[in-house]
Amino acid sequence: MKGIQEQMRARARELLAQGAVQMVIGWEKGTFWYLSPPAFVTDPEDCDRLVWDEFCTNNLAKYLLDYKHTGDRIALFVKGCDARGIVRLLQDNQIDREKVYLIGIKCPGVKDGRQAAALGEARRGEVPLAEKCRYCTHPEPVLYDELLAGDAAAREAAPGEGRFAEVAKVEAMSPDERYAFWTAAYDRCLRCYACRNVCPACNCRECIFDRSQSGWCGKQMQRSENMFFAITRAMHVAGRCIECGECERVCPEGIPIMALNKKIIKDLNELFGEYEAGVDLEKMPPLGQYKLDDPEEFH
Amino acid sequence: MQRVLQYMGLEPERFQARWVSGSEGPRFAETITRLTEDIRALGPNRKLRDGA
Repeated sequence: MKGIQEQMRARARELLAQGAVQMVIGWEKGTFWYLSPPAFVTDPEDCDRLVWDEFCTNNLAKYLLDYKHTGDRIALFVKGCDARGIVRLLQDNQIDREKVYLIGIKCPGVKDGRQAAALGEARRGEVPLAEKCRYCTHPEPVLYDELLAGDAAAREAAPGEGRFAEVAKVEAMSPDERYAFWTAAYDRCLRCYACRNVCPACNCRECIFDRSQSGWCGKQMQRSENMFFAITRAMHVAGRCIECGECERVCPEGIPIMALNKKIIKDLNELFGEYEAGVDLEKMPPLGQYKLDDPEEFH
Repeated sequence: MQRVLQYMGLEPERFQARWVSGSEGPRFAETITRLTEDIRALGPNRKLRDGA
């Protein structure tokens, strides 16, 4: 993957030196070999910080929101899921297309940082693919201004089956088992809102969960409030979740959030026809538009 | 929404949404009556009650 990394650094340096962009967002190496946190580079001299390896997991799209009120033009490296995040934000009119410059990377799939930490660096080659990559339908970015020629062969889109395997597993349980499964998961929820903060579909300026006296949901950590949070957030991103799996990755409690989001995606596909969020700029999400023949069921 | 509730092991009948226009008084009454009957048949909700 070295080839891509060198191209990344070279392009970032050029763009910054020309003044075409004021900032480049990519990934860098931090404290741990199994994590590549986001890097925000503003100086052409600094571009050697950028790295591309199998742990460049973070979806960078969300960080654009931090800079949306500046006049800066920002270059961003995008994998398949990052590009879908960008499309998502563009559809919500959150960012200006002219203010972002997208450098596409054909993604070979990233590795699971948590399992890597458990395995140890000596067994780096054995680290499995991240959960989100196993069923990825768009490893190549759907939107970009330029595409880096990849020397590592990009993956084919994963086969469709298996994508909803987790959902099917929960659906097969009895109602009481399902209740036990979800309450056990969300009893652990700390309400740290990391899932919301990292999510490219969660871009409300004011989130209902930040309001301390909304009257709907309190700040207590208890079963009913936590489940209310779970269901509400799932419904709020319904039809807009791009399946980047970031919520589940950042959850410190390992709650299977994607099993809930994917359930809604599966239902939407059944009710409104196949739809993949963040793939096509022109195609509006099923719940973001009104049609006379919309099914009655989904409220 | 009902599908999500069901998926989370809750009783989906407890949440119902219907389109009723302001001019459809009888339909509103009928909807609420049916909902009340549905809920009564289910009995009190014990799930998600704190401490339960």
